[in-house]
Amino acid sequence: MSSKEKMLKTIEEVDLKKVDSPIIPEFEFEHNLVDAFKKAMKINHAEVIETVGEEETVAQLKVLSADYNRICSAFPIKDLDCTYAREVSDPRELKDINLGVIRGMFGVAENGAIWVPEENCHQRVLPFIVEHLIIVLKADSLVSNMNQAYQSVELVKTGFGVFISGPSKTGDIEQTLVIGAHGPRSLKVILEK
Amino acid sequence: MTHSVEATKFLRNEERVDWHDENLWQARQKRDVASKEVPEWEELRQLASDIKDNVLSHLGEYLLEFEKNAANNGINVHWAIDGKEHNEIVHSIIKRSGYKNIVKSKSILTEECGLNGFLKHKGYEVVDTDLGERIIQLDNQPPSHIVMPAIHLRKKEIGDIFHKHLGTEKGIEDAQFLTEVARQHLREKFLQVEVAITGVNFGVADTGGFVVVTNEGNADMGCHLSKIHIACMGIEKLIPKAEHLGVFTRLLARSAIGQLISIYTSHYIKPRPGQEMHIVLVDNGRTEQLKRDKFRNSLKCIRCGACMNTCPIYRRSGGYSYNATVPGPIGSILSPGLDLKKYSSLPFASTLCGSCSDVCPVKINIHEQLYEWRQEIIKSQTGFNMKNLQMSIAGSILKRPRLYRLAGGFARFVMASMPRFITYNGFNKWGKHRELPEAPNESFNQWYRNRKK
Repeated sequence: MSSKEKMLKTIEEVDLKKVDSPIIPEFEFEHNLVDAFKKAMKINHAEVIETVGEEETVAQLKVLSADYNRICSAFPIKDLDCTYAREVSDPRELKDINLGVIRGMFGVAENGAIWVPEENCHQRVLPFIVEHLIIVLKADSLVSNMNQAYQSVELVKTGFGVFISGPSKTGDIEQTLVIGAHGPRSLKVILEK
Repeated sequence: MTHSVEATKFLRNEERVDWHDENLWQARQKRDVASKEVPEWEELRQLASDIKDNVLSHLGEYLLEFEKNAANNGINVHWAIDGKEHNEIVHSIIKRSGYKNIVKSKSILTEECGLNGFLKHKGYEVVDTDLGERIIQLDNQPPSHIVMPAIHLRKKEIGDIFHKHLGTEKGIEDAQFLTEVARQHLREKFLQVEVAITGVNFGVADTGGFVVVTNEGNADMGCHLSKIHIACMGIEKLIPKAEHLGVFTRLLARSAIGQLISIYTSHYIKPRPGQEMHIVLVDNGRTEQLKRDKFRNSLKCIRCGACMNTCPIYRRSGGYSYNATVPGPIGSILSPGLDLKKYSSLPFASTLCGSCSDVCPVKINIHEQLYEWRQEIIKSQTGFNMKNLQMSIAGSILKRPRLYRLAGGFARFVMASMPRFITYNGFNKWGKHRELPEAPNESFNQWYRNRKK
């Protein structure tokens, strides 16, 4: 008998009384979504910059990227000198990128998490390997909590997706917070109205 | 070694005990703040517990559904009855590939199976990439906590470990600097990676995908640069649907360290083009635990560590005193199921105060199960037992009033007039760390009679 058969046989023999999966209710959220999102991001050590319209977002991206010389964006940005993630074939090529720019699909007000499926990165490693990260997010995409978030995610349609809620961090040395563990040392979110 | 013997060693350094105690209590306090911000917190705990009840009662069906969907997504699914088979499966995948550069993100399951040691024996070096795990790996120690593996170490000690193994200057105690050194050191490893091994926080039956959470981004750095990704998952980590992640992701990080959500909640569904992805479904005693009515609930655990942070015994005895992969209250109800004899002292390493059950995000009745294990352990023990002897002597005295009065008078005489070692000796386990109150001159009965005169 294979291990699979043995495991399934033992489970079958236990023959537990069947319990139905509970129905998950809609939880009300009493805060303003944008305010709550900004508050959560502050706690997560990420910076939120608000813009109105695509033009202002592009202008803001140019300002924010002025200090960096090796930029990789997952989408074309007008008049900005950068590598497009779509043109990168080996993920290791991204190792020296000091600013990455991607779009988030939607954000979660309760905790600041932003959904980034691989289609938004072209290279899965992009939002992790870059030294600093900017995520452009539409303000009207915000949902209240993770229960709502998973209603908006179609996991089967993607190969990889991640909720990102801040710059990488660790507390493994005496619980002392250090920003910039293995991933980005900073996260800026451009919240576009 | 029993827990109390190991704890005694830890307790020798009082200053360190206080520091450890306060450090972990901080995590508990942060958990309290974060949990109170969610109005439906208690409802979420109940939902999480109910979802897990559903999982445990349909485990076989969900495992098959998961396997089918994962295979459709291009993931190779393996089944391992125990730790040995798990290690052999992982080894065979690596061996066949011919690759040598292996990184691993935090996985309590691979600790449980002893994977690193097994692969080392076969000639492979596995680099742990979670900062805490890397620190203790360099120092050749196991984790002392499931979420904060190096929480027992002081900055100075970590500075010494880095000095010895990574060539930093002696005497560095700055966490920022030490983390930066580890970042550079591990980045080299990431850029060379061929095989990435991860644990699994949640396996999702209806998508065939799985979720791995980290704050550091180390799991993702390894996986997305690797040629082969091997994910190792205990079969109880399964949940039926992706929508259930909405419940668990709201509970996990808030319970663990009072964070709103982990920085990275990564959903692996299909391998990258050109990448090979494997998942190993591990039993290793889990189906046995499923059979046990009283202890089945322990399989609901999502490994947040909240029960450790709140436990007055864990905080004051340290993770190593448990001598088990998972220490603390939850470990003390999981471990006896694996080896009743080896872990027989763990269910007694508790005050039964119930704080662990109060903070558990999936509502495991941990303290009640600790009590139940005590019954099982005492029943299973044969031969001489000092406590049984003491209890039966006490019982025979207590049911005979005249004898009781005589013994009381004798005890008052001994305590007041005889040398200390008559009362405090090897037979009196209770008196090892405690002082009896001073004996009164007369019994209550004597006092009552005299009072009426």
